[in-house]
Amino acid sequence: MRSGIFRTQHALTAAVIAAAVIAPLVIADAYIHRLMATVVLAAVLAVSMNLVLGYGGLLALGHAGFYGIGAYTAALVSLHLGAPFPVTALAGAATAALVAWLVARPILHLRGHYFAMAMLAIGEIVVQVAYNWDSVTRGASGLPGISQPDLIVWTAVTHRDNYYLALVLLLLAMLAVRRFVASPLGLGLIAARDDDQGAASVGIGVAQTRTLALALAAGIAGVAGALYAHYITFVSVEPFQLEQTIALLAMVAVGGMGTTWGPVVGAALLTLLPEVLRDFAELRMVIYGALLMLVVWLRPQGLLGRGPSRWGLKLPGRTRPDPSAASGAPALASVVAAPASGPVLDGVAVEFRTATGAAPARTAPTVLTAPEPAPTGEPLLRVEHLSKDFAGLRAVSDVSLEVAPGEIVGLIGPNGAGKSTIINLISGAHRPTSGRIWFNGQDITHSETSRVARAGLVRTFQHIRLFRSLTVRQNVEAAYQVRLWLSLLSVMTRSRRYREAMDEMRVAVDEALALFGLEGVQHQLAGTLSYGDQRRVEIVRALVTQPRLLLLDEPAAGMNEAESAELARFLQEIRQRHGLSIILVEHHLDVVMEVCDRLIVLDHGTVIASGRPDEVVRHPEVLRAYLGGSA
Amino acid sequence: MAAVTLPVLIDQLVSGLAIGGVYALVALGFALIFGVLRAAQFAHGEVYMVVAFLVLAVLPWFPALGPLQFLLVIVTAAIFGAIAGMLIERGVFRPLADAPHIAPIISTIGLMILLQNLVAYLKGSELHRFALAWPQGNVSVGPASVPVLKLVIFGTALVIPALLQVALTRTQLGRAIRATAIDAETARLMGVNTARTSLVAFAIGSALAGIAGVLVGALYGVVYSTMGVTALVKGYAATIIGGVGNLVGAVAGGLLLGLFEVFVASYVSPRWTDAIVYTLLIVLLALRPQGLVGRAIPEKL
Amino acid sequence: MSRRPLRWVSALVVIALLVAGCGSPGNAADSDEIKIAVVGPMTGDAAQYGEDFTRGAQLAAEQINAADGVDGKKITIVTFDDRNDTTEAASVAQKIATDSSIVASMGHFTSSTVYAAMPIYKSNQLPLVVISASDPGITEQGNEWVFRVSPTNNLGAEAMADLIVSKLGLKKIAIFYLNTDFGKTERGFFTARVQANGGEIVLDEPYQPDAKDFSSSIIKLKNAGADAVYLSSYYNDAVLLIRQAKDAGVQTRWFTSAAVLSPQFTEIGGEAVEGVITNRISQGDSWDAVAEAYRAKYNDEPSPFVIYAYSAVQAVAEAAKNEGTSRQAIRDGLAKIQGLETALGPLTFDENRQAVYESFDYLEVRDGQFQLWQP
Repeated sequence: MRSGIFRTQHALTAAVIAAAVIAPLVIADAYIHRLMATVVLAAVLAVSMNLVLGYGGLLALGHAGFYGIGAYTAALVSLHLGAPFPVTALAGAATAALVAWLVARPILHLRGHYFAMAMLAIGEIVVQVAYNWDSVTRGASGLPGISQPDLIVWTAVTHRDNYYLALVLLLLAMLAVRRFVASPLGLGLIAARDDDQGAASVGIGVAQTRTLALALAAGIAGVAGALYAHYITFVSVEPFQLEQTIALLAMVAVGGMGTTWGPVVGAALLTLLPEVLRDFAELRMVIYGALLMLVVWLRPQGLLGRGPSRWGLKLPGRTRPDPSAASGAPALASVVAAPASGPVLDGVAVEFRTATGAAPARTAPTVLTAPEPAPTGEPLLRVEHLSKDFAGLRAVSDVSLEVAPGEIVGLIGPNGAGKSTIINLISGAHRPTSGRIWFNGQDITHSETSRVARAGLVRTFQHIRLFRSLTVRQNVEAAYQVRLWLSLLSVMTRSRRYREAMDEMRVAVDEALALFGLEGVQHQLAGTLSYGDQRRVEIVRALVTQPRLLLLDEPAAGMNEAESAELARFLQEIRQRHGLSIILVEHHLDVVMEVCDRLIVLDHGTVIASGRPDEVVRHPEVLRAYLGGSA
Repeated sequence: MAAVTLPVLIDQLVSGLAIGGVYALVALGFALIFGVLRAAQFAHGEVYMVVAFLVLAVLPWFPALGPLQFLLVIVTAAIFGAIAGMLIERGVFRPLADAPHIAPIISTIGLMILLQNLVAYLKGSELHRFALAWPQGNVSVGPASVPVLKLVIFGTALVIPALLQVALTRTQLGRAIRATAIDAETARLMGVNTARTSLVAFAIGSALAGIAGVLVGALYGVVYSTMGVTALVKGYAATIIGGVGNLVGAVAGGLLLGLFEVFVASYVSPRWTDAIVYTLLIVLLALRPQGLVGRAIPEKL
Repeated sequence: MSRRPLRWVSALVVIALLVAGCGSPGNAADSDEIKIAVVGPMTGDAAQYGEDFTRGAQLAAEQINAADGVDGKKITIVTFDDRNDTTEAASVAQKIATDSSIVASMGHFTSSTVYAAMPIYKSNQLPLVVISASDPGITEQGNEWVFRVSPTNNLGAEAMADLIVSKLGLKKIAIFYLNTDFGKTERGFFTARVQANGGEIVLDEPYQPDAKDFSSSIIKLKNAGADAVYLSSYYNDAVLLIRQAKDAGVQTRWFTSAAVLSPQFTEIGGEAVEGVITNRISQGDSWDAVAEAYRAKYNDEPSPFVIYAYSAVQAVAEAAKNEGTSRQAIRDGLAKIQGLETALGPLTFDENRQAVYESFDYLEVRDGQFQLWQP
């Protein structure tokens, strides 16, 4: 609020909205009103699609189907029950969200184009059912005679009335999407887009978060469909076909994916363009296609996407599908990183804070509260006869091991010995061919990564997997959400409980960042940090979920001697302070020797030695297999 | 409805394999381009449409030499397709090589809209008669009598992928393409000229689309400006059914899709064919997220 | 922080809603022209029909204007493209209605687009003459601003059922129908009449609007033992179906809906459609002259949509002549038309503003042309 940039931005926003409100009063042309209503309705759809496509990174090729479900539901509820618009809109939204929720379950684990195809299929099924279910939808004849939007005290009659109704809907939709995206749920959504494995590794329920986002987006599209039905007073399948989804895709991409206003700008542009080109008659769509290509060529990240145009600097790389990750963001982030501001997303500070700098009302939880001790005598982790085959090749063979509470166990062995595979098996990234894994008395052999993580077993990766389009702080907050239970409703309404949870989170994250000396870089994009800092962020991100057992896959890789020594010291410290157990896969033998209570040596997928570090290194088998040549 | 007899079944089978063969060629081209560039070519169906129109324009000059004419048509279509593909690779994909993933998708959607409407503007949006002098007539297959054309289309859709498979495994360039498809970064490090392989992959993939375009023209007896949309959606679906990046899978997926369509239309209802086929597709994906033929490759962690 | 602009905005919205009133529809200015909008698919898949609309209307306007117009006032045709899309149809209808110089509109190709646009014509008090959409419901809704010169699709189909079953004695009949409002209603009327006449439907096969490969349907037809096939199709599907069936060796007699009447039918169909029989409403005495003028101007055969568009302009001109050139006057004038001699023959609107039709001509494709045929 004290930042000049914010004031300018908000003033601009207010001016745009004010203009949108006043314009139809000044221009008294019903055709223009009709056009404006069409633009705003398209913008609502684009905004909802942006949630899934832009922030979620999911190619939702069936989005128009949810629009159709909303429209048909509203039409049927209105025609059969004579219900007023608020009721039909709610019915439309609920049905669309419900269908999205139900169909999302079996397909959300699909990746990339498999997901896109499944969504396309759903959109197609919606259209086919609407088209052929004659007794309910009147098939190709459509449903005529739907009442105009009736808000009980007032009915939208003219195009201008409908325009205002759509405008209110658009603002609500934008608010809903922004609140979602700014919440830890939204951070989880973006995290999963950047790296779904990484997100799952800290316990983010990737499928659950995506389902929520998809349901919310479908719900918004459903309301838009309801408004369409009452506005046009007629529903048939044409507006809900693949062409509509493709148009929405173009709107979001041209405007800028993952930005607040991009979809609105894209919707306005691509809806008005054919109108402007009307005089070209048959050549109209030829020009439209050419202009679409031209815009993408000039600004592949979208008009409002961050980053330079074609004539500017290098474009953001492929690995970052989100333009908001582009080079402009960090600069802006550091500008707005006044001590008072929360995480930065899309250039808008997220309102997590209560009063500036005020201490939260409740006792601040510490980041690394000691986990309750496991039942005495029981190992925390027990792995029994674990084996894994890859295409007939045995990567891990009959490995059994145990980790006691508070113990640090080193897992060493030459390259290809199966260390990482064991980590992948324990953390749930791969399924074992045979054997069982018990954690804290629970069988987790077949649990998903995120479930394993939520149970308190969290890993890091050999190749760092940070959420590149999020800041350091947001990376940590995205992981922190596993300690929260957030309902969509609480996020949308910003309930008191939600705000309190956010206050707690802020304190905890501050503390965690301070512990690792990362306060100074907390508002930088994670991908821009030095290698050592990225490693640290990855560990903080894991720790903030309050694990009982940490699986560290080569945490010292790429660190210099001083850094790795510091890491060793630090690992001991967190163990001492919080009593958590660690499995450490590491090539830096100095680190291993210093911190580990026990070493397990692997070769060719089997355990060849196990015991106290000083004993193990003298073990003849180990010397031959591992230390013989290189140490 | 008529009883299900062997001749009827054979008839249906051949029809399904003919249209499935067209889908297979479209899918194979789509999968090849996708494999090498990791980018979806949404104007792939428009290549198929434009080539069909171009071949229709030059058809009157072709001598009526029976099977030889057919061969000539296929080769011409492949050449037109390859040229179109190279133009698209250079003009649309190359400039967006460093752009976000969505950029080439949107750009090719623009191209799709452009080409579709340009052809409609130049040639009209009505159906245009497309007839080849060969193959005509029917032939006996067991107890059934089926159109030779359908058998030829199915045969073409088997022979061409087989030739491609040989080219991809036996030639230097083919191996480079496969290496790039598996891991572009590693391929580049190992000295593969990825710029050239992507151009070649585009040329081959689009040539396949062009061939499919003339085959479907012959099958339906007409070509029209919006024919590419169906081809894209079906080709995309076939690619997914087979497993992305899996060329054998793309062919199998195409044939399977064609068979499914014909049998559902025959024994359920043509009205519900699309709804049922898409439902089956979702069920398939829920059970086998990597497609039918695709193998779940554990991701490198 | 971001609450503030929102509060602002909500206040503005409330004010705007309070201020907002109903716009009044434009009234026709008294000018020396009578401007008629022709709206339909001018681009896209169905652009052919939009072109037929435009040409038919233009030809009528030219001929009326050449004969000193309507009491000296010239008829002007302006075309609009609704892309055969419901949303677009509503949008374009609004655009037309907002232009106060336009006094009548005609067109929208399909029943869906007409349904989407109808309320807008009503609320803006602009008469619409429907010239192709055939869902009987359109003129049964009590919208007094909507007229239709084309027939509802029951008439032709019933006449065809009478011909096939009663006159020709073909009892086992297969029907293929386009799975749209047009195809489904026509199929309903046809089937009912066939059964009433003692015939039997041996194959009842729908097909999707984008279908191009009819293999599975044709295999069914091959094995259905039908004496005759009736197609509720437009020309493009009908051509493909007949050709693919003949290629597959199906031998039967082919009858089609009047909707196939288009030069493209015989052009693309070639040999395959020889002997196909269809019907159309009997044409008026002036039709031959109109068709001749059409051929001279466009070097093309006129389709039925050309006739409907032509006659619609004639009807509007007559209404303007009798009642005046305001929108209201034209509506009233149209409602009063009784037995007006048009290219379609004598035109009369019934109490639902639907043109009344009685007799049909039968046509057969012979030597690549539709020619009159006597059963």
